[in-house]
Amino acid sequence: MGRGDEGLTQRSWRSDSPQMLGWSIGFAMAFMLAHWLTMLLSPFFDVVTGKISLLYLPAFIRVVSIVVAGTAGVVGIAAGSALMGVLHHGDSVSFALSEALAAAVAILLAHWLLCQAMRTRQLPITLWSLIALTAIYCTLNAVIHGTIWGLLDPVFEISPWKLALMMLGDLLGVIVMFGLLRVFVRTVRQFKAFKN
Amino acid sequence: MKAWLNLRQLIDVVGSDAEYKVIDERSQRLLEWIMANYAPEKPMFVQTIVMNSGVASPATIHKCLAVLEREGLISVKVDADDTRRRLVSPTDRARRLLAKLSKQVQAWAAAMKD
Repeated sequence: MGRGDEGLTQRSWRSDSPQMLGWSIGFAMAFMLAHWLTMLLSPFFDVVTGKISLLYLPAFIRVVSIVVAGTAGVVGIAAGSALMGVLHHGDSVSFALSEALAAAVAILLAHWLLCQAMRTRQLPITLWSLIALTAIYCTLNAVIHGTIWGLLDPVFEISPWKLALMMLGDLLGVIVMFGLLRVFVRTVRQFKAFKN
Repeated sequence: MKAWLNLRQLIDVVGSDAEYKVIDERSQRLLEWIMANYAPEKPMFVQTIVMNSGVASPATIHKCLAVLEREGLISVKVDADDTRRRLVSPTDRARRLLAKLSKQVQAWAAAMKD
């Protein structure tokens, strides 16, 4: 990289930093909101109390964060996850951080694997790439989270059916939220068309 | 940073008619022509579509028909009376899809009129 390129990269990094921070904070807040909603619904969907839900809405925020804001979005959801763990669940800082890291690694790895499979550096935003990213992420997240809980939580016993339920919960969370977003977008469009 | 653009694109993808987006524009126009000209009592042959639709060249029309068949929007069968001919008919999926789109277009037209 030449001196000119280096200067340009540094300049664009500096000019992008406030925006990246904004996206990180936005996704952290969205994650906490989705987590809070999941907790409200936990009496109906929790399979393993406080651990595995059949409708885990933050999974949707994780998928959207990387698609929209890349690494800045993932940093945001990791921060949101750690904050929820410490402030709301009363987890130890190390446990909350390892959980946040697990979630971030799962979505980053899923994104990287899909980019490798599609031989691209930038994932195209299409219906099929979203479906593929969701499927890979849900599988990886269940495996990574299950392993971390198995290692760090003495009460949690890891089993294939628990991992399968966690995967299903993430998948349903993403599908339900995308469905709601679709209904919202189409309603707004119809309303705008009607208004004009 | 193009996060806003990504968000906009994501919203477009989520709000779009995925069913209709899987086929290209020529295939869409060909399907609309087939639907407009199809009558159950009158057999529609591939040759009729090639000669009369005027959507594209014969080779392109054959490609479009293959796309529509692959997507389950038309059914192509060999004519029992003459095995050289192939009969084309729209499927229920195509009817449902076009009915849905037509309803949307009508709603938009009514909204524009008001």
